[in-house]
Amino acid sequence: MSLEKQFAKLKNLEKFQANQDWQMTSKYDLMSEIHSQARLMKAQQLSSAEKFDLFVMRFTRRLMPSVSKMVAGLLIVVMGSGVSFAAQASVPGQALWPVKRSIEKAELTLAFSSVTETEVHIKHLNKRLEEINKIVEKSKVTDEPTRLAKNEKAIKQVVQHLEKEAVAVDQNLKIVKEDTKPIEVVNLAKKVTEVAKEAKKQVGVLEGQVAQTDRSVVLKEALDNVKVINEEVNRTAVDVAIQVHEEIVAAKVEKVAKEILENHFDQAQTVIDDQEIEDVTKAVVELIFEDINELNDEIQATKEKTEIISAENIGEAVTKANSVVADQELPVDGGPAKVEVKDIKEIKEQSGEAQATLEQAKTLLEEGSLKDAVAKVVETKKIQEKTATVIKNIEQAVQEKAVSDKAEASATSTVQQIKPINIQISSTTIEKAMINDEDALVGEEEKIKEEAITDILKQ
Amino acid sequence: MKSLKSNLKEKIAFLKLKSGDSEAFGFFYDQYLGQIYRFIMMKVSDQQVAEDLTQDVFLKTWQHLVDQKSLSHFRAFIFRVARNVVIDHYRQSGKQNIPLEHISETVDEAVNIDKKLEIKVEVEQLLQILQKLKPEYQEILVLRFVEEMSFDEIAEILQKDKNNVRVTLHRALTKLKQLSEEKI
Repeated sequence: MSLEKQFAKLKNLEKFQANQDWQMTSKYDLMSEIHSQARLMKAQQLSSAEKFDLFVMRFTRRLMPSVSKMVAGLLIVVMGSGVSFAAQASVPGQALWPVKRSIEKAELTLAFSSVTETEVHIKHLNKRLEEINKIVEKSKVTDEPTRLAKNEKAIKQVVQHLEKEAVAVDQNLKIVKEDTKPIEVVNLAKKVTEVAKEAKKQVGVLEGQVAQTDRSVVLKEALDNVKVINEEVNRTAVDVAIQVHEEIVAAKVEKVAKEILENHFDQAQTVIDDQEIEDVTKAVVELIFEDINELNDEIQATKEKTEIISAENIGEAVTKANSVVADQELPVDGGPAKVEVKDIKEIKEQSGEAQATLEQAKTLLEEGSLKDAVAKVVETKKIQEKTATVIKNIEQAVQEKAVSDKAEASATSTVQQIKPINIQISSTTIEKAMINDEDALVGEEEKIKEEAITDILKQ
Repeated sequence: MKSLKSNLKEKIAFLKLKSGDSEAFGFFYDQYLGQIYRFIMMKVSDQQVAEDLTQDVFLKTWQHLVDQKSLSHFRAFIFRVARNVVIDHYRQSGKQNIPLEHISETVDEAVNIDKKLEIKVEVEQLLQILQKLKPEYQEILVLRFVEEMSFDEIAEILQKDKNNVRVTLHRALTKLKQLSEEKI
């Protein structure tokens, strides 16, 4: 055997391969170490020749032919608009779905800037959400096991693609941050958060529908996954916006110091910079404000629900429901939710805590500490999430109790049956209350927002 | 052989790295961790030490970038750092002499060393023979045949003249052949 071949074998000997776990932990350690040093490197700018190189290479990479991209491009040209139009309405499992995906790939090929690329991914993300919606609708009207299985397969596929799109948006945002003007990055981040909010709403509605039919665990899991992905994308967008703001402010400070040192302070240039910083700050403050408002609404809704739960003595009902659960010895996972009375007390405290933390976030935002404000918002979200899960479990337990009581058809069932209805009434009440509160809050919010922007700019 | 596309990808990452993008450094980490670990492991034969030294190599490379020093070829550079880190390790532990450097050699000794050399040894045997060679020979054989580097790259890593590299490689191969024949 030739020496080259023997050496190639040597290369693949197991003892010379790095341990996978170590690779992961080591990368994490290293990246966190160098991340702290990265800021120092920011000072070093690319030379114009390197910038040109970067541009040419990106362009070439994009134009480099790949079979799938070329086929996709041809598809757009060759196919009549009728087929393309019909394909847009397809979902996984249908004959036109591959056509739709190919068209989407072609769209990506034609996106020449990283901003457009991100926007295309956002568009695709929205399409995936529409598809999930369609599949859930379909699942509602069918009882046929083969159809249900087909739908479950389709939804799994959509969620997989949705994950890919979300990861692409996530990564592209980071690239855009390095490539594009700060204000464009922040605007893009804003768009991403808007999509994330819309997705959250939609998933909420779908969750309600799926819970009612209570047929598919796969659908529930899929929606849970979408929720997690969505939250991650939203978080990256906010983080990127904050980083851009910090960098632009730091760059301004550095520049002013340099100009003072070099003794040629250019007033015109500084004014332009100020304008840019003002725009970026305004956009970032708005972005965080929207987050805070949304969270505030959620907390209010939770509070209302908590009050209803304690007022209706649902705690007792839940305890009874739990005893039923215990008697039946059902598994906790996938079975009815287990709730304890102390949980109800806890959620009361927690929603108070969430409100207080959110107030802190508002104060920090007013003071101009954007990063700290976001940290508080994240903290509030965690508390809110915990509370929401407990409330969901309570509602589920109450519903299950109502169902079991109905089955027994006893005289006492009348009292129990009222409870879920009450919860429904309460949601409408909450909505009404929220609309009323919203009107009152708008004026106050605008005032705080303006104050925050002025404070930051002064600093 | 790297594809044109992955080469371009690396070049883009390299430009980003030069502008201080820590994410781009992550790309290089993924790309070269295996190679650097293997290179060091072949020299130190101790997993724990190899892991520590590998991490040290990447940190030192990043530090070099932070200090805004020039860097023209990432692979050659990181292997050079790896080589120096191993030398420092041996110097500190005092286990082994530092490989001899800059032996004066003449160009006319260089023959067609890329010619396939038929050696009837098993992989484990090859490893044993390799470890019997002096560090300088081991290193050059590993860089050329395991890491499949060009003479230019090896010359840059070893900080030697290209012709010098050819000659050393030829000598290393002759010695390797001689030892393998003895073994058989």
